[in-house]
Amino acid sequence: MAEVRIEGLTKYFGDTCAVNQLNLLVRDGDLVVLLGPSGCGKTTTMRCVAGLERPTYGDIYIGDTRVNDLEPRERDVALVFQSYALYPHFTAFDNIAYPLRLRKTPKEEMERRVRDVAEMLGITHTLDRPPGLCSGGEQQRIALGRAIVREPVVFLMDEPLSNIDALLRVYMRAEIKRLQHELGTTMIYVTHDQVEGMTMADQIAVMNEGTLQQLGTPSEIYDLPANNFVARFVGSTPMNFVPGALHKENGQTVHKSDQFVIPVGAEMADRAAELCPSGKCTLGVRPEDIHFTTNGEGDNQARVFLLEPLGSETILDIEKEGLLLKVKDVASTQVREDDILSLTFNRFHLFDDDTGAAIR
Amino acid sequence: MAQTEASGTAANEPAPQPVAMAAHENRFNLRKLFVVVVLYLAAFWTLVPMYWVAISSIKSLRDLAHIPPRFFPTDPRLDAWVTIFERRILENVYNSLVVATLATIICLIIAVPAAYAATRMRLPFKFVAIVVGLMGLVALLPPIASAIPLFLLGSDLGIIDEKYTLIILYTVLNTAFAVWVLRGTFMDVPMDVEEAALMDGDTRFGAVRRILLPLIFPSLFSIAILLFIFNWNEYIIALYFVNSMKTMTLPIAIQAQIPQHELDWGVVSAAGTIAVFPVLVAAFTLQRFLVRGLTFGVASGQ
Repeated sequence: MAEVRIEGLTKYFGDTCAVNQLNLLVRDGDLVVLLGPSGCGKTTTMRCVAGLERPTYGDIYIGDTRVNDLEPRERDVALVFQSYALYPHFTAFDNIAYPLRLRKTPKEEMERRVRDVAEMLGITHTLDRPPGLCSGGEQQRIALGRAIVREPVVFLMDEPLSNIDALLRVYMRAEIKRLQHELGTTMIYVTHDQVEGMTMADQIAVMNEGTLQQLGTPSEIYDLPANNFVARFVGSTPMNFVPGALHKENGQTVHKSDQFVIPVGAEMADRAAELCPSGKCTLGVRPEDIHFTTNGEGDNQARVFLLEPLGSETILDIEKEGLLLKVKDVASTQVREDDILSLTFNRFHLFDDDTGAAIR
Repeated sequence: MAQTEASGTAANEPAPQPVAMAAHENRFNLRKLFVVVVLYLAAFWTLVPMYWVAISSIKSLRDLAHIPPRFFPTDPRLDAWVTIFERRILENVYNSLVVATLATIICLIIAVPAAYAATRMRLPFKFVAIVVGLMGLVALLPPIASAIPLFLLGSDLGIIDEKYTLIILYTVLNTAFAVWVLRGTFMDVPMDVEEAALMDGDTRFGAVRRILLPLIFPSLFSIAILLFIFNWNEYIIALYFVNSMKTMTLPIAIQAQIPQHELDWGVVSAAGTIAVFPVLVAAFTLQRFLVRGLTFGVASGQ
């Protein structure tokens, strides 16, 4: 068990910069999710930690050891691949036993540890089979077993759940989180699925185009996104964005767009004046933070053009002059299509149009 | 014939539905029949010469010279076989076996790491293309074109008429082909599996030995058999480099059975039969492995 420290990691493939000046501290025993769209450098970062790639610049420490020049086998790090990468010519038992065999573990101990791990993962019945004869979920567990069995100091997971069906995925992500808690081993988990990231992580590192956008707990990432990329990427019903600018009207700062006039609190207005002198900024608001009345009174009126019932809740699709907003309402909503709603924006974020950074 | 049968059944059937079905089934059978006939013709075409050689080795002189040709010997005898063994054909078989086997093994020992490097190391693409391309050029060169310069080189070095010279030359001539084919095979194995072995604590060499090579073993074996057949049949280079019984390989030995004055077809045929035998064995083994190679991929689920 150890912490992982990444300092100024930069990785070029030819002229392409995959990871740019990344700093990240993964505390001992934490589960950190590297989250981002494909091609954002998250897998490259993980492969650098694994030792499958050499950093172009920067240092990686596992515990107190600088591991830049160490081979993968010298790092005592286990990696679960997206494709599982099981050995098709071995049985499940031999797949899991392989790391122990390489470490010349005595036969009885090896047998015991493989069986223990198989039991923990519920795959004892597959041990005699080659992975080709196991289901996707079983293959996934065999791959996990192979990583767990040798008790590494760090687990690395490269989108381990993206190849199994949705139902099993929901189950497995809890399973992996439980395992990580039980074993108490540091884990770096790579995914492009923000739900996976939110549900599993102690800390999420959101990445885009090779740079770290924000590092924080899931609630920090959700409630206080550092910039409009993070805001856009996180949240299963995405955040609404209203482009516009800040104006002073009757001594009160408002965010004025083609569609709406939204009052801005004094504190935020002061910060905005300081951080974004041009005043041009986009307002971002989560679907659950828009409230509405249907009695036809109030400002910021807009028309509902579609209902999206999700069972546990309903998403109202609201349109005004080319701008679409999604608003969350209860499942038993009274709103019907073509109703006119008056909207109030309770909590929102302002993002500087020039830098994309959140104003706060 | 099948055509008339088909129309016959169709005409005799009362209900319309079964007629259509019968016609369909018959069409299917016709196609199958066609395929079978073509395959039998092809087999006949390739096997008859082999049969002819084999049968000629036990024919009497009268049968051999008989016109029209006799497909079954009337008076079989083993004279030719006795003669061929008296002429120490087994020494030639031994030479061929040694040369072909060693050249195959050495060729693979060189080609496997070369192909591995060409697929797995992040070498600049141009570099790989040029090296592998140049190697391919050697493979494309007709052997006769290189035989004479090689002979001159060999005689300058004083290594003509040595088995190891043949082994070296066959290795050189086949390496490009082997690298080319192996490269494709290696590319079919996902990098992940090997990287998983590295992560599990294996060395790169260990990952290749314990994971990669077992995975491609059917292909590797097939390539080995192909190389062996190439080496076993090689004639042109051997013609230049073989001077004595010490190095004489089978193809040269067969040719040596054709003297200037009296040509004994029986003896030549017996030698030919001996030469074909290992190739046949190899071909059957190869076939089994090719089939295994295909199903192996399916079972692995990769």
